[in-house]
Amino acid sequence: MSDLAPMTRAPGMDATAAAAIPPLLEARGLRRSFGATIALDDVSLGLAGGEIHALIGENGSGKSTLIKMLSGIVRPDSGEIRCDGSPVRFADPQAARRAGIVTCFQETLVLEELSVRDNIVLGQDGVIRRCRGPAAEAALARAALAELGVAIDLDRPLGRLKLAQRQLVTIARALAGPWRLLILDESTSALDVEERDRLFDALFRYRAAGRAILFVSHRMDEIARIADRTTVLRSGRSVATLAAAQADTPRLLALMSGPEEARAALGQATPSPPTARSRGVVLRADGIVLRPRAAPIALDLSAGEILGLAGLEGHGQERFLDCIAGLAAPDRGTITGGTTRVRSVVDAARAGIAFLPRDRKRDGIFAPLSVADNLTIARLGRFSRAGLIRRIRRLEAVRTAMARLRVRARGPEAAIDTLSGGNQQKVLLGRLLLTEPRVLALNDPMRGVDPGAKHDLYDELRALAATRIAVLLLSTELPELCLLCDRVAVFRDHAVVAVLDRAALSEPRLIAAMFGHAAADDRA
Amino acid sequence: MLARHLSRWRGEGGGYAALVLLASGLYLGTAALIPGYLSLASLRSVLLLASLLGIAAIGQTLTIVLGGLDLSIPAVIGFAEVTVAQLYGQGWPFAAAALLVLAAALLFGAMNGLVASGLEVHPLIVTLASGSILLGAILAVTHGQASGTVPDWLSATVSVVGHTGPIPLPGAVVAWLVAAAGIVILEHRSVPGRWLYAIGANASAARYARLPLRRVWMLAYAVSAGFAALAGMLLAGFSGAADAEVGAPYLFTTVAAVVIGGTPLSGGRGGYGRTVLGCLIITELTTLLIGLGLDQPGQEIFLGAMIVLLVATYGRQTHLGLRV
Repeated sequence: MSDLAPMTRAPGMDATAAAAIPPLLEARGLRRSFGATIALDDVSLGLAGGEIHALIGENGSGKSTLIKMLSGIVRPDSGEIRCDGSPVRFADPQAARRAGIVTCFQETLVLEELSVRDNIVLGQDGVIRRCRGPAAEAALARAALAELGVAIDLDRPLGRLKLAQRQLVTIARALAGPWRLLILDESTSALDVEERDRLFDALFRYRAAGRAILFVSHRMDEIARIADRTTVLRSGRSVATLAAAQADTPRLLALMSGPEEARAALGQATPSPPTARSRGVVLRADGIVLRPRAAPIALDLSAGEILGLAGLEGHGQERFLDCIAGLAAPDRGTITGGTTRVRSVVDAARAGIAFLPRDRKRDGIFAPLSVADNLTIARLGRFSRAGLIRRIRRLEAVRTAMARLRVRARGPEAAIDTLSGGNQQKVLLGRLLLTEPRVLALNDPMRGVDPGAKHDLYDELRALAATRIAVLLLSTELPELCLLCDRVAVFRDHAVVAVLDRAALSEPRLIAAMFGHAAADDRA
Repeated sequence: MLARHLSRWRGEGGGYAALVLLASGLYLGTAALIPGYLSLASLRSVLLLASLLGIAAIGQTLTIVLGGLDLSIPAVIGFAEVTVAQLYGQGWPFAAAALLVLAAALLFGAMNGLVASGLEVHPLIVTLASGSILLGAILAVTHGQASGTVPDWLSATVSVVGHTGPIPLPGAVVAWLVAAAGIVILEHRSVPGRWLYAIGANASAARYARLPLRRVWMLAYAVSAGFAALAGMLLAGFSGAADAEVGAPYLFTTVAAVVIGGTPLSGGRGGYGRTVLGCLIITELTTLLIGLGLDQPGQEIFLGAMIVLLVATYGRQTHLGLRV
């Protein structure tokens, strides 16, 4: 860390003197319960200026509550927060912001109708008084985006942007003002490798300038790469804070969860057995041209195969998946599922293609409805007679599905939004499975899912493949693709530039292909 | 069992208990203010007025849960009242006249749903426009001088002193209670009922789950118009004279009954059980104002103010609860 010494620390200062300087922010013995649930039991954490501090833990370990506390949204029942050594009490989020703490929350909280610029300067004006003119606002927004190395048209409404761009806008909003501590909660989940690297470059600059970053992530590779120290939460307690040298992945995983989950998240779970390709083609994409002048795509999917789709954000893999699901039409080419030509959503349904959208909150869950409703809504006919739902039958099916997918919820009647992201995703997968699909088209299903639930989903996908269901898995997480897929098709410039077989599958090769350095012999 | 049911309903938006308390509190409060109010006769008249509002508000609830709104309810009420009275007055059998009115209303409602979902025009505009067209058509045909009669039994159905077999309540009240029970059960247990909530909760997710959005919209608006027509026919028995404007007050009161019940306008939550209590509360408020000797304009001013006040205190509390 010595080469990254923050400016607040005088050069040549020895370790004891450095320790005497109070950390920028310190939490001691934080505790908070909501009714009978203890969200935080005993959490202590120190954030020094000039460090990137990672925070990890399974969903439900208290990360969100801790972040909300540091951001002034939730107040602790007991324990204290110290800013520069003196105790503080944040009455509201504005108070935390005045203390220099800015937070970028996991859910991309944006106003879809408003422009990029308005979203970035949001919350800085009074009700009537604008702090600055439109030109100054634009400059501020542009500067904040430039910090992240992106240029987005400031006048575009947010609703028109891709998820990754929205995420960048929410980060830019946090940056658009004076701050000393930046809290990023799963802020890289939608970003592609390039966007993420530019974000990390910005974080390194802030670190060098003596600011602090609290970085919450489920991605071990990211933590290994950027964190100076890592604090592990488990069941509402801070169990350890490790320096980068000690924070190797197996150790972190062991600290935050049981041994089984550690093994899975690390990628040491049994790799999928290679599937015989002779099982018969269930889906055929032939001569698909995604946009004018792009090279045509030809891909076959066999029963029981898991085919990964990789690529930098916006290189056509998402649109390809939409075409498979009948949601979009390619410029040219045909998609055939079984014997059905897929031109529309109805065709896709007939061909047994089930699609899982990427944005769980916006396009997936029915927020206040129960787990049972969310699971069965697309196939209520199976559990009803004369339009009336047969409760017992439905309940049995829901219980079976919940047990099989290892959904952790209070019960079938629990509201879906009380479940963690991973468990919501399991319910959505269950919904697709009730339609008895032959092909699962999944758009980044592990986004924002905690390691335990990921492990369950991995197992489930393998089990489904074993029952001859074909899986198209679009993922932004390369280790996941390497772990699960029989083949991975890599997209670049709206065409498939490489298809890597299981034997040839590795992260460096995927990255090379994504950046256009695919060796010709990698083509399957 | 009951507690479990109540707690499940609570998940759909705030305390039911508060509503029941408010409804009974208002009744007892009024009784304390107005001598002689605590009698079977006044209870029956409150229930009767609430039943007409309640039947008209069924569709308002369903369309609001779906994420829409039905502002054509007053026009359908007027249409049904005028048409059924006029046809019966011209010598049609009542059943035939009623069936014709009902069929026309269902078709009208289905059109509302079709236009709103198929052409993606906001239901506010669609139903306001279709209601205006319908009212205009009635006036064009009747030249504003509708006349007609209704059978005596229909008047008895909406008479305060009416009986339904052994039950000492007028037919309209019994019909309302039966319909209310049916609607609440269908909301929770029928396939279209669950679709209604799902689409109202998240239309985008409903599209991805391939739910039949257009059919559900058509169904909800058809049911809405159907019950509005029923309310209109009952009103024909109530008022005797045919007047296309008879439904006018139901524009505000049906929406208010839904909102006071705690069903948010954003859709996907709440339900008709809440609207039943909302209807009772509104009717009690009106009765209280009449009992205090306010004239028609005074009643409207106070009713409007009190409803805003109620929603601002009680309603907002639920909505905040729902948002988290």
